Amino acid sequence: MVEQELISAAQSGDRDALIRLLREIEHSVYRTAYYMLGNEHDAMDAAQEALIRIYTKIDTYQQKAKFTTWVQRIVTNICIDKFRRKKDTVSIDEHNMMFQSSHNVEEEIERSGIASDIKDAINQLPDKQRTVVTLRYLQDMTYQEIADTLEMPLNTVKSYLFRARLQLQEWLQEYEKGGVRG
Amino acid sequence: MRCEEVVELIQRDLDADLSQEEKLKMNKHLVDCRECATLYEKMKNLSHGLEKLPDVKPAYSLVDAIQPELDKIDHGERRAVTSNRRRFGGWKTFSGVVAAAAVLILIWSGNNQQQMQQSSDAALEGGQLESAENQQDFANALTVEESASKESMKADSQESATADLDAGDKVTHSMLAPGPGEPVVISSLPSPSGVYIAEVKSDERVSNMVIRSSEGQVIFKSHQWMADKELDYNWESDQLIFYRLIGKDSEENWEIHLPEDAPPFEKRVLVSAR
Repeated sequence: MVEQELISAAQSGDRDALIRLLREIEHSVYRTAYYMLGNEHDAMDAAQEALIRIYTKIDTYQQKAKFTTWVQRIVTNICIDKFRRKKDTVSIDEHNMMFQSSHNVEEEIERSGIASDIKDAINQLPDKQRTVVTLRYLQDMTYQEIADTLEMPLNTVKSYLFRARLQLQEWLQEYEKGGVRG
Repeated sequence: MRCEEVVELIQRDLDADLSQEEKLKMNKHLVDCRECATLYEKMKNLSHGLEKLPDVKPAYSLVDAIQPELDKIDHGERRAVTSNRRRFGGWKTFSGVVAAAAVLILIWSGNNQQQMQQSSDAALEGGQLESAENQQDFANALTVEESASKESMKADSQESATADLDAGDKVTHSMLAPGPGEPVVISSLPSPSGVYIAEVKSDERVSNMVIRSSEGQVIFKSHQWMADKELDYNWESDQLIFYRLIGKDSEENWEIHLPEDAPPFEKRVLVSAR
């Protein structure tokens, strides 16, 4: 938990305090980036970009919101942007994304034969589902905190999370059975 | 209870979101429904696996890695402010509003006593100001060469500097004497490479700016201004600092040019005032 005094000092222009604040959150920022983007290289890039954005935007943080929520919103937005650019996704329609992801995970299983531990399976989730799963399990957030972070209705958060878990369970079961179609 | 409803309860149970009553309902259904019980076990295992995902740490300190970038940003922001300021010298608008808009270039050397520093208040009231009536004048004022300005402006300075403040010392003393308290440094900012440091001093009544070399030698002392004015100052480079004073009905933009090597020499330019 980041101390409120440190945040206040950072917001009032104390550069040392701001740097200390960044050091306190860098681990958590990186963890989200890593599980959202699925590899160290992209995660380092995204986490650094997020920290720089926090550095430049600290004065816009309003203390009525939770600092963690504000920070995680920044890093998840950056990751979602990167994810979309990387995938060169034309459609962001959730259904299409699901179809594409499912196809990808099968290809991955076929190619490597080892694909499906949970982390790899998370990587195949559509971006919003993956984001919600990351915040729930890697940041230990409640539904409400996730809703605040992603600025979406609470029921939508539940919907993404529940669908993600069912999908993950299905993929992992297929993997355990060796039941890859194709 | 239908299986679809129980699936949602199972999901929410993974997030510890069930009331006791809901949990009892779910458990009752699971006893009776093998399919849901199986799903429940699988989902519990999955959720447990997700909770056990390994923590990951960056291979090196990200904050250390971005420090140079943050330094650049600090510098860039200064430049951005500066460029706004130059654009603000969208001088036509400015001079159209303010009849008394003026550009004054002063040269002062701490080595010889011929040249003077002048308070901006005196400058604004002195009637010896060189008015900038168009944008070209403004541009000239910004780009005026030190050597060219030295001779032409010296006379103006000498004639108009009624306060006759030699080398800034008297400015400091006058600031010290009647103030409600000893002046203290309320803000400071090193130049990009740290060769100079700008300090803003205030005794709560009046403020001024002092620029020191890294060895502590005073290179420049500005005029005083009422402490309730808002000050905005930024280093453009090691040799150039801008400051802006904003009062209720006034605004002054100043540039201070500093030497690359041996101080003391500086050139102060009042870019605009109203």
